[in-house]
Amino acid sequence: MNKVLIIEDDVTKIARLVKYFSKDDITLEESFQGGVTKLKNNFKDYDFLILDMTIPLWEKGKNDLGGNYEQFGGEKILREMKRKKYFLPTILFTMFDVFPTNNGAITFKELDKRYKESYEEFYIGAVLFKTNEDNWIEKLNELIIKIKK
Amino acid sequence: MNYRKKVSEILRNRATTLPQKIDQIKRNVNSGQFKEALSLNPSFKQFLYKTPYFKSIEDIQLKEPFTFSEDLKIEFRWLTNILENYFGEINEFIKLKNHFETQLILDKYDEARLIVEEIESKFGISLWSIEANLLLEDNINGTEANWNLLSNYLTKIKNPIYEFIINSSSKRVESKMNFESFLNQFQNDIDTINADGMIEDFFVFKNFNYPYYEYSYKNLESVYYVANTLSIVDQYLILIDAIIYNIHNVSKYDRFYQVFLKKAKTIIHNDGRLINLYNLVNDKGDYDKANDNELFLNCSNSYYKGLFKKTLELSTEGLKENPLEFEFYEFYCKSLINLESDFIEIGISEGVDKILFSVFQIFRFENDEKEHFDFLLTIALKYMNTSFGKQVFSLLSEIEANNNRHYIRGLFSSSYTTCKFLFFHHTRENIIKNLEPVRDNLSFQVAEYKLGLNTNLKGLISNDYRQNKTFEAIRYFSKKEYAKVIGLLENEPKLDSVNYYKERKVSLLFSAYLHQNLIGKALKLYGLVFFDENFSSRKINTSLLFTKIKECKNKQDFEAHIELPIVMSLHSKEFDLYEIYDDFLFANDIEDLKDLDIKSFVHRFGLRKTIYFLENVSIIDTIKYSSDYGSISEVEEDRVMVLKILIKLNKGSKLEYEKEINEILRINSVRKVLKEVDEGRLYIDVDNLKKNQIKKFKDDFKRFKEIEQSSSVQKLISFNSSNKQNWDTLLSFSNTEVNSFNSAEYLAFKNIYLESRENFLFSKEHGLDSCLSTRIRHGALKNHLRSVFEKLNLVTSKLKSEYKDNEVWEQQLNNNFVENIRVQKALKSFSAEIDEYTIFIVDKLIQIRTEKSIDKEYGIFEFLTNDEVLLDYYMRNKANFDSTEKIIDMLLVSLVNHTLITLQEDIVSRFNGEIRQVFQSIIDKYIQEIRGYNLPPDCELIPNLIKSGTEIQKELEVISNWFYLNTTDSKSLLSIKTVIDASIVLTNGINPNFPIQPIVKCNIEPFGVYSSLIFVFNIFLNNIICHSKLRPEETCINITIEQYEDSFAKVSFRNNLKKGHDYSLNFNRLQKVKDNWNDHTNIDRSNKEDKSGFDKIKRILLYETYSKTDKFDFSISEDELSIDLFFKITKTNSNE
Repeated sequence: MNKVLIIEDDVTKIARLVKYFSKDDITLEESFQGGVTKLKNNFKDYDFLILDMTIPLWEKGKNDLGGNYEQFGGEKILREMKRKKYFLPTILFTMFDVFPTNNGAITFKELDKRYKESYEEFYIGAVLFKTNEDNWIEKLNELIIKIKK
Repeated sequence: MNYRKKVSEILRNRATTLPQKIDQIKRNVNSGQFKEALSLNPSFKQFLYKTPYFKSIEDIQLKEPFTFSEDLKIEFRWLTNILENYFGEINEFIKLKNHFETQLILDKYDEARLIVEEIESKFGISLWSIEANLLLEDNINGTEANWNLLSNYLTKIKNPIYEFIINSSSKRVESKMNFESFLNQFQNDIDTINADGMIEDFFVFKNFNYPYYEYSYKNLESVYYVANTLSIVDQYLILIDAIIYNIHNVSKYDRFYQVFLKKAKTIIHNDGRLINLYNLVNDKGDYDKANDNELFLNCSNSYYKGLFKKTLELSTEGLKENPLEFEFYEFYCKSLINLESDFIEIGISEGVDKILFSVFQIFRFENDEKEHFDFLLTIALKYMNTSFGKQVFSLLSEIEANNNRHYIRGLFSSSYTTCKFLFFHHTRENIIKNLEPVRDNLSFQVAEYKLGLNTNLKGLISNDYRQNKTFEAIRYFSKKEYAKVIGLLENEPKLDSVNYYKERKVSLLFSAYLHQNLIGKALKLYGLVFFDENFSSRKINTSLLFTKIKECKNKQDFEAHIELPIVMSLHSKEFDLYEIYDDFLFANDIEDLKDLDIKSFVHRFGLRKTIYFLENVSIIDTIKYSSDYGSISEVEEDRVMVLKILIKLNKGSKLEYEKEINEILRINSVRKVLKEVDEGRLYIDVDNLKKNQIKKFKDDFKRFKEIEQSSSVQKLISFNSSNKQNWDTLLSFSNTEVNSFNSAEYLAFKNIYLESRENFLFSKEHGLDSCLSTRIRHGALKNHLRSVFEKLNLVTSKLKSEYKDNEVWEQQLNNNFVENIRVQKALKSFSAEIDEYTIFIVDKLIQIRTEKSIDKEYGIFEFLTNDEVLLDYYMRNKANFDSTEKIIDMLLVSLVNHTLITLQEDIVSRFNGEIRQVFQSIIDKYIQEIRGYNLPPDCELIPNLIKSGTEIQKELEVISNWFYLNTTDSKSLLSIKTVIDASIVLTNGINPNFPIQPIVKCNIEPFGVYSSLIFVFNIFLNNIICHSKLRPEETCINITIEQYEDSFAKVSFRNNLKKGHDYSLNFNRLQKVKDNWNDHTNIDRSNKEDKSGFDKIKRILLYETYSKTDKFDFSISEDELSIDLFFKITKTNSNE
């Protein structure tokens, strides 16, 4: 049984992940701060992290009027993990195949490549989730096997 | 083909006109043979040279530029070929122009005016002469006179190119026009005219060539081309400016320009720039000494020898002889600085002394230099088309270590040969050889020494110690011997005694540290400079330092320096700054801002740095990322704490800090109001309902009791009012005999129950349906749902029955006609599906369903019952029905519990379940469809669709919480201003593509109101958005709160209107509202979704906020609509 930390706020994705990890021990955090606090307190308790990219800063009801959505909240968590040396194997789990930024769009593949270089200590890879396809399961299996090796 | 043959061919073609023939020559003959080709037929020259000048304003026209070749050599040669015929006249013009500029700088405006008149009489009206007249007018009679003259020109000149340029000239020479402001205005003007690349290049180059601008034609082919249309004098001035620009840019055309310059300088000897240019670009070791000036060279030599008294005398003499030579200004001021003297006026003219004083102040490098820097920028702007203005701008560029084209342009604008020309040796090796005849001057030798070139100079160059050490440091720096620079300057405290040398020292050290990657030292030095009250330097390039810090992988050496977060705050924010801030706190053993021991912090870092850090680094946007905070409110609490510390540390800025605290409190209040509103959207005043029902059912209850007593005895069942009543579930558990339904006592109870329920659900004052209607169905729900998709530009509104095109994607796909059509079609269909489903939710789902309302079959507020359920309930509880109060209380508790628990659970689960899934399936369908299109990789359409899936989830979750039923009035009184602020935030939230910024003025002490008033204001603001027919940027809204008579406050909503639009329908509607304001008989209409929402407003004012008065007013004029509400004044709750 794996101990999995999931930082994710999308209901659909959460439901699918909960089903996928039904035999594992999962901890769900739906915000940047929730995730960072869990990592800060006991990142060593987990086997790996499933990380969403766009997440709110705090749990619902705790944010400012606009919602404090962090478009690259997942990346900020990766940066915190590197800076604070919370080296927990991490899999990015996203629905976006393209990420719009101020300096043009970055594709899923480019971002994955960039993270592999920048966070080589703990970043394992990325899974592209699509609501109407199940290919992501295969990819996630593959990355989890990689972690276990 | 030989040019003669080509010209013969062109001439033989009788079908072409003369201009067409000339155009063919431009297009077909080699540019090196233009002159010869055009000489072959006298009619060519007659045409080309027929109007070199425009005698009067009325004569002004655009001369024929022929076809644009986009080729530098063709355009340059075409233009110079024409100009060559007028070198003599141009020389005369330049002489008069120099004379004019001299008189201008000496404040001799009458003389200057005469010269312009002479120029106009000899060389006609030109853009140059028009600007000279505007400048004179502004200097003599003020800016209004400048505008009048401009207007005069514009009424006579009907030519867009001239109009644009003259308009720019007029603005640029305005006495009070500052650089920044002109830049913004010019940018707006250029953007507005929407000219093509060629014309835009020309306009920018001619009117404002100081800021960085990427020309469409890199070698200014466009500028040479458009210049053809102007008079000879304008053509020449633009040509020389363009050559200087190009020479700065690249050296590959040097030989090409050399031919023209050699020819021109022999005749146009009044233009010193031609000689400067020739001496630089010629590759023959040729040197023209016409610009050698003994006084100037002596002055330079004595300055670099450290003979400052002598330099002062020589520069004074130089200024008197040539007040247009800006280097004399520099020598004069630098001498005074070196002599550690106060400023001494020279007395040539007030204008010259004013400029000198500012130059002097700039060289003092004190903290008040900005005022002088800005003044000199204005001078540079005003005199942009003179050599003097360009030299001033050159100095300012040098002060900012910006040795770019402006610096270079200033050098070429010098009247004399200056040692600064050696600066070009990096790009043009021949310059050393060319300048051979003057290199024995000390100033040239010092320049070579400073540039790190081979030189015989050794040991003491200058008699002045500080100057000497500075030369040495500059030489090391030029030779890239940075360690030596550092070694030398770190041990030279003597250079700190005068700011002029301190500035050189600090800037060299700073750059050397960066070259050596000594980031910690660079940070410390930056801190010393930034917080020095008596010193300033513009050369400390924090962007470079910032980049170095970002690139640095190991920051441990300098993480604890307070300068690190300070520098980073100048270039970064939010999470980027947070990382540095957090590392800094950690490195200094500060775990949390709350633990900040301010005394020891100030002791460690100094007061000024502490204040800066607290003001600019420890801000909400930075500290919010700290995991110490569980919510935005906690972050705000700490920011308020920081601001309170700042008030103690820096009393001078107390007002600013208090303003920020108040703003935080205001935002907090707005947030609380919106939260209260969201949580209390469903409110039923059960107490009032009970009172009314008790009164109403008194007789019914009496009857019920009488019937009951005469009936047979039944088994009693106790009733626990806290038991949850699930009407739906009860329906299926009936075991009572059918005939019991007819018993008289049961029917008497049933009658009370049904009426009580009817009242609970549909009472116009306190009923559930009124609440659903005013707070949820009326716009709110639909707008909240739609805003999710609007914000992401996925839906458009309808025009008549057709959805409009989506401009955002149309723009992104403007090069892809086919895909745009497909996207537009898909998004229209997407908009329709989203709207259709949203309308279904509002009109069908958010409805009350009872057994009586067959048409509400989808209503999720199910209050269904039947005899089985009711009888069961009656049988179980009848023993407790001992008073009207008791029975009403039990029924209402039961209805409330059903709404509060059973229904709410169901609604939450439907909003987060099936409703979410319907939206998601619509979104998924379109994602799949659009993925099949051939969209460019950076198109954000699919990412936005994906985002909308998560965002609609969040919105549905928020909305599902609206349905929590409040039964007690726990609301506090809030300030009217807070409620208005909150309603603006609410309105903007649900209209993301129609942002409004009302100006709110409260002219009386704010009074207390209930938060529900937010819905009233929201209806007003939504009406403005919907009915004013204006675009968001055109909409101006003013909300004023003021005293009315003795005991009323008047709240006025005023908005502008669209010119020419017929608002008579709105007028009629408002008149009707006014006429019926005190008629409450139709208040139940508020449950119907009326268009303007005034019935709802009346209901909210009457039953929810208890604030309706009998006054209402409105006015509508041609350009403004105003609506006034009146409130009895209530004091604000002291807790608010």
